[in-house]
Amino acid sequence: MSLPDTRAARSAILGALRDRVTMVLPSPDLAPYHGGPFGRGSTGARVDCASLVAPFETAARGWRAEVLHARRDDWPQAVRAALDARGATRVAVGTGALQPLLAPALPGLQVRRFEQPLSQWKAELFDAVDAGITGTLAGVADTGTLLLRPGADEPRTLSLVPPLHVAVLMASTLYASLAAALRALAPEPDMPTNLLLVSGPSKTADIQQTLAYGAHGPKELVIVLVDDLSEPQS
Amino acid sequence: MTAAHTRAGAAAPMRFVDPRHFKANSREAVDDAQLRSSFRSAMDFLQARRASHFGDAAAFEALRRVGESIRRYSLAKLPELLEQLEARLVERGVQVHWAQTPAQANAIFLALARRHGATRMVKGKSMVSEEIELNHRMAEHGIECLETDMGEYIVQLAGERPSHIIMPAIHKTRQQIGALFADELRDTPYTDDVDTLIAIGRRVLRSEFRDAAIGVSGVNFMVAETGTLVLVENEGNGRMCTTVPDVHVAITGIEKVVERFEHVLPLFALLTRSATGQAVTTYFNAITGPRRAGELDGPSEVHLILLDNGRSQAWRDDDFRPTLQCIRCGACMNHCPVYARIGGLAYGTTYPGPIGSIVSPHLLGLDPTRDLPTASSLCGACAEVCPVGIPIPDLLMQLRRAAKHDAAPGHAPLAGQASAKDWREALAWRLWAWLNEHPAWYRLAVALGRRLRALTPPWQGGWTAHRKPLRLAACGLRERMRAAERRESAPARVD
Repeated sequence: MSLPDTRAARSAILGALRDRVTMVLPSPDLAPYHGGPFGRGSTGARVDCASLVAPFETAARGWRAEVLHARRDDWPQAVRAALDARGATRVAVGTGALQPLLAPALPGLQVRRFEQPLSQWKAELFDAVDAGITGTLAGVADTGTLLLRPGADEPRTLSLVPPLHVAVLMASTLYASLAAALRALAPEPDMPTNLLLVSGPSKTADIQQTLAYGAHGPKELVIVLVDDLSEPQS
Repeated sequence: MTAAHTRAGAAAPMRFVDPRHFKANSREAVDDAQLRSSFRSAMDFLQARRASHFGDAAAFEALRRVGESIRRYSLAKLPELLEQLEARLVERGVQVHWAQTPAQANAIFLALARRHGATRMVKGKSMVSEEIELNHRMAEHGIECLETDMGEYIVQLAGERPSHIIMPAIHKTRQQIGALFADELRDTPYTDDVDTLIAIGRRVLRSEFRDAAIGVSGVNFMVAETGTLVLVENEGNGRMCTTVPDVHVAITGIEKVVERFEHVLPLFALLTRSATGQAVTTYFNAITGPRRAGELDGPSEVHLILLDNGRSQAWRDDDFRPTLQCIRCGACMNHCPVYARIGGLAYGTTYPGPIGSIVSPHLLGLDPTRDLPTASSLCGACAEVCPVGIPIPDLLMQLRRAAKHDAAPGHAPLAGQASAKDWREALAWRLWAWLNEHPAWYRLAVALGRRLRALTPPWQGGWTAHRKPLRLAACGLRERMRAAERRESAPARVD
């Protein structure tokens, strides 16, 4: 069935807007935002990552995310420990750079690599996967937020559909504020299909303002925070 | 609905409330003790949450000025930004549709559903979809549009409208929701435990996300330079609706566009703190186009419907354009003494509270909505908390004027302009003005009024419903002053 042709509506709407002469305003000055408390670290030198670890952890816990500390050489074991602690045995993983390191830590679990289109295993992902494991692009200390850039190697539903989301975050990717993280990573002009910020597990306060976790997305979020700031031990 | 629901077809039949009956609705709402207590506690909660983030008034003011300047700048460039947005979206493979009216928007939804053979859609929270009454229009054609935001789902099951734009089921208690679930959902015993109720909602809706062919969503911000749609939410249902079904249809108003992605961030900072007192929401979901080659999930088709529905009328009038700065946080309703007492349903419009009273006249015309701008004491709390600096009390005053008077020179008439004009009232004011310009006649009229004072009717319309009747004083201010002057000057004359 063909869709309605909405070009006439388009001309009518744009015509109504165009036939009024409007004074163009100067481009908004964002300096008070970037220089203020909500844009910390987005101008000047980057805030030292080591000083952001503790605030990140506090803020993330505030959203009821679990934060586990790990080293460069043992984070896969920390992921495994998080899975075991929650009895998660059916695990979905991506196909990205994390995987070769992670795989050896997951023996005895049913590991499903997300390498087929979702449509081919939708029911399985929805009904028979306990946890999804992803990396993260960056972390935001002031708000305890993870920045994810899902793609072919880590699809969007990997951090959405399984009831447990385990995210691996490198301490070297911590930024003070959201503004600082996005300025540094500059997604414009080539935005990915999906750019995602995650702060804690899914939640709702729709019934009498009572906070309940696990609305439709993950019920739990575990962040494995990897200390990649100190020199690797030889 | 589905196997999980006891009712076949759509949820409980919708009980429409009409803004024409606003005054009667308000009286009814004020008499409902349960409703008032629900709203009072919710408003106190939301006010305290917001205040906890804006303790530093100077920091809030600075951020608000940035937000306001972004919105004003974007609106000043609206036609250019819409064309730029459309071009970027099309480059990214998004299909863009335009609708002047709710009927046109619904026709697009219907055609999309038919094309994909869909009898069911899952929907993330979208006030614009409420505005076009999407659920009901689709139901008329046998297509079910299922709400998936927990609050919206509850409201849909009950056959009601949302009573708040951020917390749709704010008017309901957990006991009422427990009873509703027990009635409407199969094999669901009564419970009023909130975690259990949310778990029930999750279970029922999860299979709907999995199986639906079409996901519908609103949009919080659109970025013209990148062709990005930004959705802000806590539950994850918005991500489900925009990621799992093979077709994603977004609908929003034409005013939601900004130029650059970095313009979104200050607005996001203002939105979440003003709305629910959160520094961030659980999810900030920025979508740029459908699934690309090599990607394994996400919709293969993305559509955007840009709805006007009266927005261009507000835009074309410099006085009313600030109405469109709104980012739909709901802070104005959370702080409104009128909204807090009557709740959102009494307004009978999609958008209740102060923002609803200034938006709805453009959406529906001033005729059915003429009473809404009068539902304010002009206390100014709404303007004080508005994160984008909308002068709501001024706009309420202008709409009151527009409802009673013809358009001023240089202004095109609004839909329903002067619809509340009353020749008796107009005549009375004209007479009053004339009397004040003619002192002799004024004195005569007053003198006559004093003589007839005893005949003052004890019942004077709405005035005497809550007040004593108005009657002329036996002795007016002028007479008293004159008498006082005589007394003061009298001893001097004795001398």
